Amino acid sequence: MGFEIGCFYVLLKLVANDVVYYDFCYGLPSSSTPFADVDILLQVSLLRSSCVSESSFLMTSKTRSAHVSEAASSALTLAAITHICSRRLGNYTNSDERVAAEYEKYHLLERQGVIIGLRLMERLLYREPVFGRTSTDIARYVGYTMWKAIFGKKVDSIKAIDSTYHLSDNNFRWLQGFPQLKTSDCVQTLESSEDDGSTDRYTEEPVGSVSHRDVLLYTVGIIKGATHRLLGESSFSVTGTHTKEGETFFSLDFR
Amino acid sequence: MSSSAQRLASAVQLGNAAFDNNVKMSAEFLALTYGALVQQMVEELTQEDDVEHVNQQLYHMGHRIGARLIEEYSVRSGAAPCRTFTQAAEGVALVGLRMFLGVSAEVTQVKDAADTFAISFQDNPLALFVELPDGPLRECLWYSNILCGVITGALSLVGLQTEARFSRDKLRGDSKNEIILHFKGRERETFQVERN
Repeated sequence: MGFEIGCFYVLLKLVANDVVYYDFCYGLPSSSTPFADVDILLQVSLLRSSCVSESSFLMTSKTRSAHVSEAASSALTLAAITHICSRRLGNYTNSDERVAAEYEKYHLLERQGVIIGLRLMERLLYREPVFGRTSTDIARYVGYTMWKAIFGKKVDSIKAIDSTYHLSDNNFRWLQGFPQLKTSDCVQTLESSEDDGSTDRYTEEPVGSVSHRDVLLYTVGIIKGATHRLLGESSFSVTGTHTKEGETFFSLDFR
Repeated sequence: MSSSAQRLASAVQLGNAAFDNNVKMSAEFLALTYGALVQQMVEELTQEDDVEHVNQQLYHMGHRIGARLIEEYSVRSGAAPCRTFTQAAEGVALVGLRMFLGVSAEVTQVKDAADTFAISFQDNPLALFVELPDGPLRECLWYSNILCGVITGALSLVGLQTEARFSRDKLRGDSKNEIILHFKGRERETFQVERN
């Protein structure tokens, strides 16, 4: 029901107003799986794309590259992450409840990142089409085009090992001001199914209600969203890692 | 050129220089991040018509952001400390908004009120690609209310107690965006420098 209402509303709006760009403020229908969210968002993106036509506005929009201070954008991003993390803070009656709440937080962080990434992809590809679809092309798109749009700079290095590309940022902007890791060698965003069972490596020191892992998960979501349409039928996984030495890298695995 | 006009021109120059010297990035990413945030807040409403709650959330979030950005403003804008409400309003409108958002704003004193100013601007980078649907959102949501929080949060860190609120919004069909900035007072200096 929610799905139908949501999609109907979008369609009605597009047809009624012949809107070229539209970003509705009513929520997407709730969904129990991240993939469904992405699929719905993709449908919306495609709907919007089909309405695009050449016009003076679009030409202006395409050529005009408005900028803002990176400091303001980073402040907003961290506030958005904090908003997600501060939800449902409270006393848990048992560890199961705590684990469930934590899982929901991680899901929301990545989902929100995916939403933003999907929309960013649309803007970036419109302005700078990516003609190749190889893993190298995608890694460069993330490390150069996407990083430039988000942080005003490129990643510091891209290293390929077999089918995995490691995009390294020596001073990741969104983790500046976070404490250095002490009890762990690194923090990663590996899915729980890939957890090697060791809990020590996930010991970290939250800053208020936000941890290193929270920031990494949000960024991983953006990367997933921003690359979704480039992948076609390929499988793809993204892992964020922050080390004790202060290096942050995102691994794109194309196996 | 009167001293007032000279000061205004100087503030505009400072704003432009501060913006030019920034690390800059895509305004689109800022707009998309903000849009997803507002959308999430609207989704979380337990009552659909309680849009004022979103306004308050945005304001409080902005207040915390402003408390962080004022440090960057102080260090990097080159603006002199504000000694009058007028100077503070000009700092916000002509330097701060320009430095962080690339916005060219105007500031005018509200008639017959020495402590109230109107800050108006045409382009709003937070509202790129945004259209509000008819209904409670269009009627009650001040989409960019986070800006009001940023302004009051920043000014509170330099001892100025203020209120800021949107009075016009292009997303609602107005011809421009306008924030009314009202100075309520100045806090007594609490930081004492020891003089030997």
